[in-house]
Amino acid sequence: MEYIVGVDVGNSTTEVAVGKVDKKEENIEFITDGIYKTTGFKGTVDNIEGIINSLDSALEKVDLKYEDLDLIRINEATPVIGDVAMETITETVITESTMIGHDPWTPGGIGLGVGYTTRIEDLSDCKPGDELIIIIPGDVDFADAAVLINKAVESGIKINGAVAQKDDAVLIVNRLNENIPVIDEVKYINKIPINKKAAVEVARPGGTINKLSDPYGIATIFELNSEDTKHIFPVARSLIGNRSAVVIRTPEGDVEERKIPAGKLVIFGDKGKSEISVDSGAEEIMDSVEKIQPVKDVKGESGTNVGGMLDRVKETMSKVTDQNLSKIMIKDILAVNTFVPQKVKGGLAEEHAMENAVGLAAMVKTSQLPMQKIADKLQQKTGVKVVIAGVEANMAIRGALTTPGTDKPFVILDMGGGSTDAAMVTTKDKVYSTHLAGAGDMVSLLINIELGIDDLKLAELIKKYPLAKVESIFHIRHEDGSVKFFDEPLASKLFGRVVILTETDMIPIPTKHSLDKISQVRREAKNDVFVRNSERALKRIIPTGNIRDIDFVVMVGGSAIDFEIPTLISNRLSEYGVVAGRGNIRAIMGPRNAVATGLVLSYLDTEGSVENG
Amino acid sequence: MGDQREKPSVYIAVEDSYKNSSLLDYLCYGLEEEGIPFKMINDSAKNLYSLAHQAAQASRLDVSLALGENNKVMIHHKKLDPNEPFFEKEISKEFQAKAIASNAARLVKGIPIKDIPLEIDQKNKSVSDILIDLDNFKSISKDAKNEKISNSEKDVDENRIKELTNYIYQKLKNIENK
Repeated sequence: MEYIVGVDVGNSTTEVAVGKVDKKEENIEFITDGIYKTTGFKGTVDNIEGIINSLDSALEKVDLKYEDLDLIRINEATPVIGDVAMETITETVITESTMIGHDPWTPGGIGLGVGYTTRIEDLSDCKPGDELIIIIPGDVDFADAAVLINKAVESGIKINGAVAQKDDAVLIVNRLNENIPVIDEVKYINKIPINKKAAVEVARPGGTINKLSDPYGIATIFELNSEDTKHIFPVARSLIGNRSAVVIRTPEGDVEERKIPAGKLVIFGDKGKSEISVDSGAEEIMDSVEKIQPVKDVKGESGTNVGGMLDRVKETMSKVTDQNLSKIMIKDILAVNTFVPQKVKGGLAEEHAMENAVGLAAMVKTSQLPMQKIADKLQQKTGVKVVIAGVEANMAIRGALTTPGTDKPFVILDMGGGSTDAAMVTTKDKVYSTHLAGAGDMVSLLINIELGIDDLKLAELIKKYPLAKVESIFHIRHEDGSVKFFDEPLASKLFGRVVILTETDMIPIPTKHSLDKISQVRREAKNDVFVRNSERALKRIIPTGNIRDIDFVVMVGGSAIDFEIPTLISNRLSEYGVVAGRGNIRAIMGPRNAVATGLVLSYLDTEGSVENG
Repeated sequence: MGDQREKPSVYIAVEDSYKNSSLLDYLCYGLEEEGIPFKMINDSAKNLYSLAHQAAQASRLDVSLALGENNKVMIHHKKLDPNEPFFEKEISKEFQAKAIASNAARLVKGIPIKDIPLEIDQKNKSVSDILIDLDNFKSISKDAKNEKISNSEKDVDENRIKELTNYIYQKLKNIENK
């Protein structure tokens, strides 16, 4: 009777499986397992702490000590790390302040008003017949403002709209004799140019503006020629969906959408190289990558974001492996089109425009990680014999095959944080494997930038957990529409908000985005990364290149635990007639512990025994 | 249970000493800005909590505002424990009263509440705001040159401004008398 330990150091978690092996009977009984966060970069001596913690937690459950163990088998980790970055490729710049596109909760009045901007203090300078848009700074009381406007209108001045600094629009309109559109909560009211032609539009409650959000609507109001209309188009575009807006035309006013030179990628392959600029978008980049397969290396233009990111990944890898920087190669990239809300330069109310961006994930591979160092250190610390055993892909297959209902030939998709790895085993036990850039971290990045929450931790929580909306102080509505009531009132800071439902907590998401919008962004990010990668991976490892030629796909790894990624992939692969599902290692572990289990199972092989199955 | 014949509105309960306070006015303005009907109720209770709670019971919108000792403002909800209102705060400024009242309206509408500011935003500029101001200084000063109204012309109109101020004063008095 021997106690054999399998240790799998992954990018984000370190997993342990302990088996009781009876050599004569060729029987292996798994008695315990452990899991801990990987400490340091995978493949470095820093990993020891995580391994020890993981091992201790496993041994504690069954009351075993290091002395009881006979052998620790550690995996020959694939030397793969990934990184992510984002590159904005468009930018909206307003060179002269020309629009207010924000959405106050409560604008006043309804309709479209056009006139020249005039501060309320300067009303006395105006003549009957003047067409005006009145600017009301925060230090003017709404009642005074209303009185002044009414008085001016009586004297024959035409006041067609107003812009207020405080949250006063409804109060002002309620005190006016005539209905005019009023926009409020304009923070930088002093920056509104005076004596310029302006248009104010407020839609009815529940509606959206339709004149100022249309380039020809704006062209009609300001009598623009075709050239100017082109310039005003980004303004119209950024106002779409708003309930209220102001557009101010300054003669020098110039709004432009310009492309930032986003840098170039040079992809090197066996057959040659391909140069592509990042701003041509994700599809073009991915096309070049697929055309040039297998990729030998990818370089980014120096001095650009892409260049910086690719250099960073290479540098990290070079440090970890103690290899020369020139020997580190980027083997895969994944590009995804996305939108980034960016503050419009020159806006008056902190408005944002959705800019095009490309998210990039890169994956580096080197010849080998210094696993022997880890093995020596571990042996010294535990006093147990440690051996490096087996290639990660083979071990993962070995472990994944313990999922009930699977058989060769089959494919495992190991979806982690930094990379998506795939391996296939044929009926003749031939193993093919591949590693792709882009996994859980990429999804978090996409969620983070597209929702503009600027908080990676929060983005990660959005990725992991379902959402709900707090509809009253006593109940929430889940994503599927079902309702849950509470006995105790919910905290007032949660009220009306979209919250993340973790096992123990409700975490409010501090944005105006609706629940539908957030869940849509989340699902699209998962689709763009994991579903795309699963197809890419399968096409690469299946010898015939035809996904229909395999029957079983088993998903393992941290991201396979996710509540919707496996179903998204399963749906897509079912189109090819493939049975795809979440792994269930040893029928109890779920998608975790595949490699560690494989390491224990393969112990008998190395001893010259044959394992049944 | 709120009286079914009453119009659905947020009920405002006020301790006697605050019946004519400007804070009360601003509570009303806050609700008006959000477009939520409100109604003053006369009630007596031993403390502000039960005053607020009773008002919430009577309101068909299930929400009440209460104002009392030490400028304390409270948002209460019908289904909450009397001693645990939805929100309570002692305030010093009128605009805070308006912000709290708009939160009461938001409780009715089911949209997230706002933080209650200690100072009015526009008077409390952050460093980044000032930098943005500097950025825009050039364009503003350019505009200033384009304007044909000079300062001397404005001085001439000082009499008219006085006239207007008087007019406003009168008008405001009329509103008060109503």
